[in-house]
Amino acid sequence: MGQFGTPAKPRVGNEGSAAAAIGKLSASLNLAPAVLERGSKQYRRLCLHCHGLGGEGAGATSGWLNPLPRDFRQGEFKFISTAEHKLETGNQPLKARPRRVDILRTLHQGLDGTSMPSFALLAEEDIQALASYTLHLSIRGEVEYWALYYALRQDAETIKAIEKDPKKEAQARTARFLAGALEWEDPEADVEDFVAKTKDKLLTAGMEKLLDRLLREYAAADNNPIQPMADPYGDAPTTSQSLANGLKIFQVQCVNCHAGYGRQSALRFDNWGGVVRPANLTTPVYKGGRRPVDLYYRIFRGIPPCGMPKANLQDGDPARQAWDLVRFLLAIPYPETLPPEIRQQIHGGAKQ
Amino acid sequence: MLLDKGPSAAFEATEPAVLHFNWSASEHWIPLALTAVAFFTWLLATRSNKYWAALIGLNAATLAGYTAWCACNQLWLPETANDLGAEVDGLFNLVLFLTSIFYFITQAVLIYTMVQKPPANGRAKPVHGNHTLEIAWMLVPAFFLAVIAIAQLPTWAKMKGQTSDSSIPVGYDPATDSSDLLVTVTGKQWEWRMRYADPAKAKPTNPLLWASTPAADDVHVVNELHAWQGAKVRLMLRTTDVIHSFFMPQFRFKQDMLPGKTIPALLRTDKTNINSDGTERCWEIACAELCGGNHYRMRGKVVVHATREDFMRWLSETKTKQTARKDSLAAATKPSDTPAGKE
Repeated sequence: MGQFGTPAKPRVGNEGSAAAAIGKLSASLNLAPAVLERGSKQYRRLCLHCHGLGGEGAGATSGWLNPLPRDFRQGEFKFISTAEHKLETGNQPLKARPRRVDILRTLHQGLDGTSMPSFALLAEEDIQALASYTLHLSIRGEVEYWALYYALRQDAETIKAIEKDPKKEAQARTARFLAGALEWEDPEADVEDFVAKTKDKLLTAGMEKLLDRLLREYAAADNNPIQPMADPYGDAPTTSQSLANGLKIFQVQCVNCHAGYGRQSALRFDNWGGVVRPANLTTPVYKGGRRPVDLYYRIFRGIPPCGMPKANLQDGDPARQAWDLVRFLLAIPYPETLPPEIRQQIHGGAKQ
Repeated sequence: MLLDKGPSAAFEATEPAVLHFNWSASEHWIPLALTAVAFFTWLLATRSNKYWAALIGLNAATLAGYTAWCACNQLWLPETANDLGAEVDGLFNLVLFLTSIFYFITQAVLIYTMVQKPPANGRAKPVHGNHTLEIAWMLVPAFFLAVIAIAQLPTWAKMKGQTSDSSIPVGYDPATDSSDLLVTVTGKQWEWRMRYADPAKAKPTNPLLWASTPAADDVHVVNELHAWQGAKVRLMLRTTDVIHSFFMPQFRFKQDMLPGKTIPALLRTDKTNINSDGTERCWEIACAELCGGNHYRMRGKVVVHATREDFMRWLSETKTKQTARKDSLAAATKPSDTPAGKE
């Protein structure tokens, strides 16, 4: 549709007056054509064989990997630090998108325990460009997905419109697509009016609507990270009381999926149709990063694409409970640091 | 151009400490041109034995000339960073010297047989079954191989820690162990994960056990091996999947990592790669065993800090980042601040 260029000349949005807002947004997200071109070059050299040319996660080597390489096209990411962003206007809330630093962290550190390696030794400009190109592929994939979804869906209204005049199926579908795009943005939107105004440029206008919405979601994510509650213990070492509290919360909130502290977790499906296993928390391998704040994000945002819900700490002092849980999780891989009764419970009687 | 820089130019002081994965487009003509030259000389040489002889002679002369030119212009071997470097280079030169002599002798014999006049009866004189010759070409190489075998023994022993440092796994005592730093390097498709024991704390009582079961205060780093000048580093080499080979050219160090094994190794870092102006010379780590599709991606770097204090500062900074309870990255990497954003 021309909104995204080609792998050799990627861009976001068309040039022209209608896309001025999009241009501004994509510049603020560092999606300028020059950056994307650099990112695309690096992507095709370093990432393509696993993630695929279009970011579909089905490159040549992907079949041999477990977990599978990420399919970027749904715009869903596992290890991010933002929550859904509610709008004042009452429209659909902006979906939680990765911040740029989330993608940069993965590029810098890799994902421990998976086949995603660290790219930290590339030039910083290249890493930045790769992050931009990843965003580009996600946005592109999602716009294309929704365009196809609305254009092809067989709901009652579309069928009715087509039956009315079978020769004008293409127009009818385009109008439905546009209506979908507009509804997504604003349930009260006046579709008829919009159609009358844009006429033959209907499809482009609809795509731009979608694109604008997505770009605003990514921009909002950058400015609205989850703010971790301050650790009430500060830099003090973890106490056994803290560990006991953490264990108590774990046994209520986490143990259903992380059975046996993750040693006996059952496999489950993720949103991409792949198979995931809730993490084994008795080994210090953390895909999303080993900083306490990374664990905090995983716990209090959840990992929605994999079905991990966010922890729900309503009673008492949430900050204390949160950091008790984080400190507990960071301590359990190391039996020698645990008090005897907790060690007994987690690691059994075996001598460590 | 590639030839201008030579193999070790990437390690010059002026080069930034970033690994370059790119050949620039202008360098692709070199293999093409060489292929074309080889093809046309082959066409010419098939016309007569004399041309073949000339070609072989030219080849030997070019090789010798290029080797000498590289050696004279410091393009031969990368700089050495520890005590073993000079010994390994010495052995390399010894082997090169011995094999070169025989290379030139065999080439000379080859050329001689090609250009000499055929005998009057048109038949070559057979040497098959000549006992004297056969004994000679068994004894002479055997002698030189024995020379090489004996010459490398002390270096090999030192490199494999079979001298006074052979303390792992037998006889290791944390109290008397002479190493300064303990690092577990885990090769994995396709990166190196390094784990540092805090050198300010007591050494693990059993480093082999420590290599497989991390301690709570270990520092985890990807693809970067840090040490300081004059340190004695004990590496515990492991792999989580297939066979990798941990190769650090500046240290003349190469050791395979085998699945299911923890392989201890000792490394002395006698030289720093931080220049006096604070810049860093790039000392590379590479995987030297084809380990899968992205084998080429398995690269890392060695940083030898000038002093132990510098190293400890780096270690504590890394540890601070690792134990962050707040996201400090957020402010530093807003899109408008990024280098790419300025373009």
